Amino acid sequence: MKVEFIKSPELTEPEITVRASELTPEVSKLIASLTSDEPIRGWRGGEVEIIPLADILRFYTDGKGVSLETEKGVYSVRERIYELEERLPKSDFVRISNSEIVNIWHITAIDLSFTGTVRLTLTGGRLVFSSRRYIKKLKEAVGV
Amino acid sequence: MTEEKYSLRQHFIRGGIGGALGLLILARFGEMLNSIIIDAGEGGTPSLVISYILYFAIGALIGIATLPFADTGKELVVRSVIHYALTALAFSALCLVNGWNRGRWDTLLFFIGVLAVFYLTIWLARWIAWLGEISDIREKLGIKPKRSPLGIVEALPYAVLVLLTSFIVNYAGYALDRTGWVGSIITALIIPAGVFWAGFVLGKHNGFAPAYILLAELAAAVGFGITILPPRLNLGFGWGAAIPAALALIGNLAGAALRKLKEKKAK
Repeated sequence: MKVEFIKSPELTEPEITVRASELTPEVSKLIASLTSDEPIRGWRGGEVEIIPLADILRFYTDGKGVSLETEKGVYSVRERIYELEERLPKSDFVRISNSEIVNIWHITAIDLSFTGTVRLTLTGGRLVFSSRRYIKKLKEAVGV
Repeated sequence: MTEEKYSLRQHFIRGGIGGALGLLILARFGEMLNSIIIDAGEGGTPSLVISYILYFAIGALIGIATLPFADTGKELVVRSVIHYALTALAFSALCLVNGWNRGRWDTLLFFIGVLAVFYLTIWLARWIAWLGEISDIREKLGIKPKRSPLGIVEALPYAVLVLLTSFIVNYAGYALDRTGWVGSIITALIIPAGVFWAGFVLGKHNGFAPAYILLAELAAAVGFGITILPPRLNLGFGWGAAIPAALALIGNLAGAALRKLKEKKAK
């Protein structure tokens, strides 16, 4: 990967442009790591781990509490879904249902059922489902 | 009352009034269409009061026709089936009151079948619009599958829509006006417009798909063929067949051109 620094005194804050022949999952991951804000604290087995946002596949609630999932495993999170929705960068995370937020850069496939249900495949093959009501948010997040 | 329920009630009332007004206009001014209402055939004299009530019911059901699409999954199927059942009931009553089925149950069943095809057509049009949105999201995320040769897979749902539209519009044109030109004009306007629109949307989301031209032509021919009506204006065979093919090509090229233009602007 080629990295280049260009000195531009007219800029008030750093600007990063990623150029590639295609938007591959690797490129998506790189963009996610560049745009992520502060990491999230995830709890597992009584211990806390600092998890970079770029590694998170999804946040979900199962009625007991909120969890986050990475390729390495599942962690508990202290925040609620609506708090996470407000806090997380809108360009990277999108709410796809009442109980779930996904990292859009980990979406590897999208399928539409005959009844309008949308199935998203995340990195590692995890399947999650969204309804038509939430597709507007996904469209906004990716810039359609 | 929630905002959703209030909006639903408004649509129901407006649709109902629209349906009753429609009957009033048809009965008063529609010389050719009027024959459908007045000419009761073997069914007896139609009761205008009952007709008004039934037209109100059908208009109200049309007013809330978008309700099934407000949700997805099982909810969508259940709501669609209920909506269809109520419409079929009101329509059957209208057929019986006006004697449109000429006293024959098989004719009535055929009408209800045509209504089912109409529902299928609306649902497919809606599904294609959703598919277009999904296609755009896939593209933005860089996960769009590779295009099939000549765009045949991408063109298939659009061709099925052309087939259903050809059948429904040809039949509706004939049912509204059996001998005059009103039905022919309806057919001549709606089918080419549908073929063009489907090609345009396909081009906008997937680019130029040569397979669509052939599939749309084939679909129009099959749609007309299965209608089994006296061919007054046939867009499925002979010289008439050139019209859907030409509009499929123009529509698809126009959609593909718009897509290119958007891509250029984005760069």
